[in-house]
Amino acid sequence: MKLNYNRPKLSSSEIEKRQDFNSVLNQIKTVKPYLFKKILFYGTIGLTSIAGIFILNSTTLKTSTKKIYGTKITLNKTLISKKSQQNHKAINPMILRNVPSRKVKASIFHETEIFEQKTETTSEMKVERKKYQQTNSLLPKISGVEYGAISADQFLNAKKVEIASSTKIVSFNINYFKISNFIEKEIIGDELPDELKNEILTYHNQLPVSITNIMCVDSNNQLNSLPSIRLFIK
Amino acid sequence: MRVHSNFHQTNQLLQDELDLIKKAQKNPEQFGPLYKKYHEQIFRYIYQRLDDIELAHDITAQVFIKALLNITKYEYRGVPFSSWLYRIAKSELYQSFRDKKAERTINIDTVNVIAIIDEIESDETEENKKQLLNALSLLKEKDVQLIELRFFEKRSFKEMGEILELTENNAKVKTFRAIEKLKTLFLTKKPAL
Repeated sequence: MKLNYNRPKLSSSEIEKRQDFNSVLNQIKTVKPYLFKKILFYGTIGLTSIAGIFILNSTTLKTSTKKIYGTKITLNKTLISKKSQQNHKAINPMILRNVPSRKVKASIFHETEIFEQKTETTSEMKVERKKYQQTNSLLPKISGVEYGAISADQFLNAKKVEIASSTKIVSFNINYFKISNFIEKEIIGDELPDELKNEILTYHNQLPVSITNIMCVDSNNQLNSLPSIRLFIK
Repeated sequence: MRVHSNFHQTNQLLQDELDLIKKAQKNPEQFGPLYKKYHEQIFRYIYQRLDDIELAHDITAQVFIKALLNITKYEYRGVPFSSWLYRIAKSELYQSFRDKKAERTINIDTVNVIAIIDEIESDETEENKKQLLNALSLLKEKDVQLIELRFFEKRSFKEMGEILELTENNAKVKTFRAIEKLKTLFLTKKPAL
């Protein structure tokens, strides 16, 4: 900070000489359009930013929707042709294994109106998924049981993994305990072999039996995954 | 150096001024009388804190340009128009300090020194005068502002409050504290707190 002691004083007439209201007015005229341009400039920048954010958001939402629901799995149409639709056993299960199970599992919701609600948030999607699971008959079942207790007779009489008529199960895994070993078998088609059922009934020892990785083909030739079945044989 | 403040005006004068403001709000060319009325005191306020006369004139012009650009936003609060101009002047002045276009200067004369020496209850010796100048240069900016407004420009606490955006009482208390700090610096004869 500078300190001036007894600086010569300026007279009022000296100051008055420098008064120039016209130059102030002229400057206003030059400043005003500049301000106007400034508003336009920031307005344009603002609008562009908002549009950018909007586009970015919608892209992110689309991506997240894909992640949650899974997209229509890009099956090679030559693999699942009409011929293979008639004979599901012809599908090589290794193709199905290559599809990430988490994504595939969710892709069942493709079938429903939920898929179209792309703008929903994750939590809303979860609620929809729950509702779907509670109400939709597309869930796979064994003798009408999709989860929980099943009698030995019911299990023994089950011919196949059941599903709604328009969908065909093409493969699944069955997991069970034999003495103290965990067994996982891969089945092509939807049928439950009798030897397998007998083995499970002999050795299950009250431990759960799970049917996982259930793959199906819908009426549009789209490959989907279905939720697992977990059973407790009584 | 006393700034010719028009702060204390009669109601009639304030009303006449308000009429001028309303005219200027509709047409900027009607701002002329207000410019003439307040140009000198705004210039003196700015020049008091600078050591560059040309820069002081430039900043003064800038103050009136800003005032004209924002005249439509002006709201009458029962105090002279100058309070609003002083606030713009203060803002422009400190902006120029921040931009390093100007150097903050304390301009003091013998009369001011004597007034402050009286305030801090000391003797008017040469040594005390030098010590007072030293103590002033060591004060913080906010305290210098208060001392300048009160003791160099002889403004009322009400006007100080209007310029510094404080209440009258707050301006009074803060000025008292600034003087106390100056007194401490003056008596201890040591560099800054």
